[in-house]
Amino acid sequence: MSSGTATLRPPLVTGDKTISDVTNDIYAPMARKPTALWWAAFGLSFTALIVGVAAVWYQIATGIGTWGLNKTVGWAFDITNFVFWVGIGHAGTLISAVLFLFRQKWRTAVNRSAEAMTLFAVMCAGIFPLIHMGRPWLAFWMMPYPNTRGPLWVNFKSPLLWDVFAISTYLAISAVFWYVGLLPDLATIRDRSEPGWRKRITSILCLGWNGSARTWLRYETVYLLLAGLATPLVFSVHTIVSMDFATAVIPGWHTTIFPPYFVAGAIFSGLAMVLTLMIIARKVMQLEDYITMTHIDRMCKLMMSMGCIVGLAYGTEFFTAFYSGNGYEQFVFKNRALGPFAWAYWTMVSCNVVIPQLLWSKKLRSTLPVVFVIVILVNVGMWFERFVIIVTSLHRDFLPSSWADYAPTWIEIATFVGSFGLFFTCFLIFCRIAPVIAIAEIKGAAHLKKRPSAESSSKEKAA
Amino acid sequence: MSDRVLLATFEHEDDLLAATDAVRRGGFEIVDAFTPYAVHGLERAMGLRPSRLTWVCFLCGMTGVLGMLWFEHWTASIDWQLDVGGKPWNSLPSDVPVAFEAAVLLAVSDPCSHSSPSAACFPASNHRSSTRGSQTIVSSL
Repeated sequence: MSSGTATLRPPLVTGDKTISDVTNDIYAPMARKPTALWWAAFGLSFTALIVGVAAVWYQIATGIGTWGLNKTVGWAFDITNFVFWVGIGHAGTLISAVLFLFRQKWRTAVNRSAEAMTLFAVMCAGIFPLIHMGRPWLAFWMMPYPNTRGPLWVNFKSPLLWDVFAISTYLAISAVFWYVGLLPDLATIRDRSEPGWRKRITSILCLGWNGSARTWLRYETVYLLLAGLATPLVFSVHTIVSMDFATAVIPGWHTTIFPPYFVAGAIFSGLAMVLTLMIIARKVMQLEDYITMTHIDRMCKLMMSMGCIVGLAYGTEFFTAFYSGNGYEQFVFKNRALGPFAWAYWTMVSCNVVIPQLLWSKKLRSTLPVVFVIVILVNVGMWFERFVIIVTSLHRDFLPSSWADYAPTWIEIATFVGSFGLFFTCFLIFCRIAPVIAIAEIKGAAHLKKRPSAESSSKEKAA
Repeated sequence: MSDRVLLATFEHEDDLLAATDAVRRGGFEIVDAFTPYAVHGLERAMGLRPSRLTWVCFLCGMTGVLGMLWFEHWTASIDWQLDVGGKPWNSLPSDVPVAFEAAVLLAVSDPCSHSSPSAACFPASNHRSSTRGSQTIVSSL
């Protein structure tokens, strides 16, 4: 009919859906009461969140001494978790913005939840730089405002400050992108919901959306601009995060490979998290016709391509250390593979390089339990990658008399668990109050019928 | 003579596009078209001019970049010069990340704050109202 290749590519939406089916299917999980499964998951994540809040409260009240850090290992769990969560956030923006610029229509099934995931991941990430300060109540000193201390301005030459601007901008832009994209769907919810709190709130939040072509024109323009601006953000934000390490002088950190290595790793771990969430959500919310196996397949392929870049980066780092002839650099890599943290290093290599290779097989990519296990392991491996980079480079650098060991305290572990609690609590609430799939976008991308085919053919016969 | 308004609904986006195009070529005035999702080609069929938000975004971005670069230069080279690792006062390479982020922040915040409220408060701002001749509203369900 309109698209000649529609029969050649696998359909974006299976199950012979009509346009109104899309609205019904996506609105249905929001309209019905939360299931026992949702309550169980919410209970678990909320408990984790409370544990985290208690740990952070105690740590801020008592001091950074409650963590296992020392003079040698000045950063460990705190910055590992920070980079971990920021990295996860980047895949959401990739799906929303980068795939939009590449006209990949299949993104419409996952972009809403991926973008929500980004928002929550960046929120989780932002906690760590805040609490790792000695005096978090003075965090506002990071902002360049005219003050009575000189005025003492912030140090624009420091990557730690570039981080402040990068993460704040990323959080703001992600929120705006997510909200602007939500406007037509909020209007759909407003029109669809029964009179009550949901109708009232969505009426206000959708800003009077009426579906007028002029509004759509402005919307599409803003969307394109946001996508175009968010794309360089994906690369710049994680590059700036990698500069926290690359601009330092210790071996294992001071290397130019870090920006592309970190960006690829971020997208790798983020796609693993998106897949984790989507595999569960599509089953629980009965959205398998929208988040199809083709979508899972494509995300696996994207994830794998990033994983291959990460693997290449590991090899390049190792080769550069060997080829440089720099004894300190060579020692860092020997220490990573054979030293006290070798268990972390080999976990990282097996989870990030070895196990994802299973996804070359189409059969395994189509087997959901296998994919699920692999993506969980990728997330584990990527957390360990940041841990290995940070701790193994710090704990044994130039001077052997400064060498030290590191072990996390319960407070650090509890804070880490708490960040997962915050992330999943927010995501579960999101699944209840907002459409998990971009209703308007998927309608536009999927070329659906208005009425089921049997009915329209019988109407034609009658006429 | 009173104005006549025609309201039409369509089941397929292709029919909506064809009808809108035909109506515009026939010289009728299209008040608006309403769709549940963005129909590609509808703005062209209706003869709407492209949004000026792109220019607003670009200007705001340029303001952000230049403003932030100036601010970084002023704080580090003029107001209170601090020797950071022996780097020159005005270190342009290190100014780039923050200037870029400020550019993106401004480029996004201004058009977004202007587009949605203006669409809500002035929904017909791109529409010339005419009191003569027949007007047509074309809409799709």
